[in-house]
Amino acid sequence: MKKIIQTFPTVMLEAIIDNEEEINTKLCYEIKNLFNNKNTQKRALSQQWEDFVVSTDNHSTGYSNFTTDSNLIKNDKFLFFYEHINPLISDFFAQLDYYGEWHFVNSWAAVYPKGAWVPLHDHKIMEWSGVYYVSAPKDCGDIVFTDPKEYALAAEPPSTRWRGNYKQKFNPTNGKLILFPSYIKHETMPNLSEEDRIIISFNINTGKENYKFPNL
Amino acid sequence: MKTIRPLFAVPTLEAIVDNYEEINQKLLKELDTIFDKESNKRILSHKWNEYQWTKEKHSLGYTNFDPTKPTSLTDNHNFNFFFDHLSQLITEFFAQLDYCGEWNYVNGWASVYPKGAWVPLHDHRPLHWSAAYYVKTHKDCGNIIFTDPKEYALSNEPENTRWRGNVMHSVEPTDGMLLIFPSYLKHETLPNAVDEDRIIISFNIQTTTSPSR
Repeated sequence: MKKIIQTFPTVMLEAIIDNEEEINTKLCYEIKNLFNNKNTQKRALSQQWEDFVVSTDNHSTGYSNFTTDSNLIKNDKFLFFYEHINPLISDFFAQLDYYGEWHFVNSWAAVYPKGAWVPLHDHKIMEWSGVYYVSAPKDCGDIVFTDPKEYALAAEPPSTRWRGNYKQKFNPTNGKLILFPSYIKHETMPNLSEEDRIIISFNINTGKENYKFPNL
Repeated sequence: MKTIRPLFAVPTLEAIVDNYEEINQKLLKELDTIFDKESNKRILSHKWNEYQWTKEKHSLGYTNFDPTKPTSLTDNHNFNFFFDHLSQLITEFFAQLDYCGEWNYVNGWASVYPKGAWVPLHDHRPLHWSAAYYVKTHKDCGNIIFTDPKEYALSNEPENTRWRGNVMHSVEPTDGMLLIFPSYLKHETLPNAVDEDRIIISFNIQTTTSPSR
């Protein structure tokens, strides 16, 4: 008997949703309306990510509606999207032997023009987080996940990297949904395309909808 | 397209060594010499971190592991047959992980766990790979339990997310079993619940070639 056991994996879902073209056309329309509304507060991204610069401008460093008073889950115009991906998420959880309740906690859209990027961060204290690509032109910026064994790997010499402790990249494409544990740190490469990368992000908790995200 | 990806897993080897019965007979004979009445033995279980030494075969368990003295079994020619026997298995394991470079044993030691003796949670950092080989086991002699190394990441995890994989990994030892795991992986054992001793050989390995990726 001899077996290699891959212990303690971080399980993630990578999927292309059904009818992505139709869904994305509708999402593009709604996101455009959202951000063209002169009253929509937009948070600046890239190097301004940590500064929480919020204004009604379409910042050249990228912008999102992730602010303290905006949540797409509560926006009727986006309901079709969450209803559409609901069975996919339930199916994923079932494959992990979880058949209990779950719910979206919050969600936001983000636009990354040429040069815009996402610094390394995580979504703790949520349970699951997702990114969905509404528009992902070629070279618009891979998403890169960092191995979560931070303390364990703190003193790792380069000669042991072959056993798996490295970053994991995903190439975004239109209609791709990536669902991952909220504790896992991630970032993106800068958008090198002339076109915007447009995404919707969201957080999920399992159990009944009894947790209130601060200020939402 | 829909794919579930298990990322950042920790590769471990669980194997039963060829000819383990013959190997274990020879090892038990050599271990009688290592643990003779004149030898210094370090006390285990809850005295693990106190580095107390005795010449007795202590009821809390005992080992010849002494980081301050050259007592490594890898330097004892009477144990060459054992480490030579394992080399191919270890090289094959590394090759399956796409590592075909050099490696070497750093140190090795034997431990005896009588009834009630156990191993507290610890790791073998800053070594690269560590191993436990079971010379003598019995049912309920104490499973070895590995802890998920995503310590910071899981530090605020609620109980209701444990189903996604953040659990302990428990292995029931049997005679001739070899476990190899990254040295950073914390592990402990349950107490030996039977009247017979659990006897193991532990060792550390380092790889010496830079990675290709």
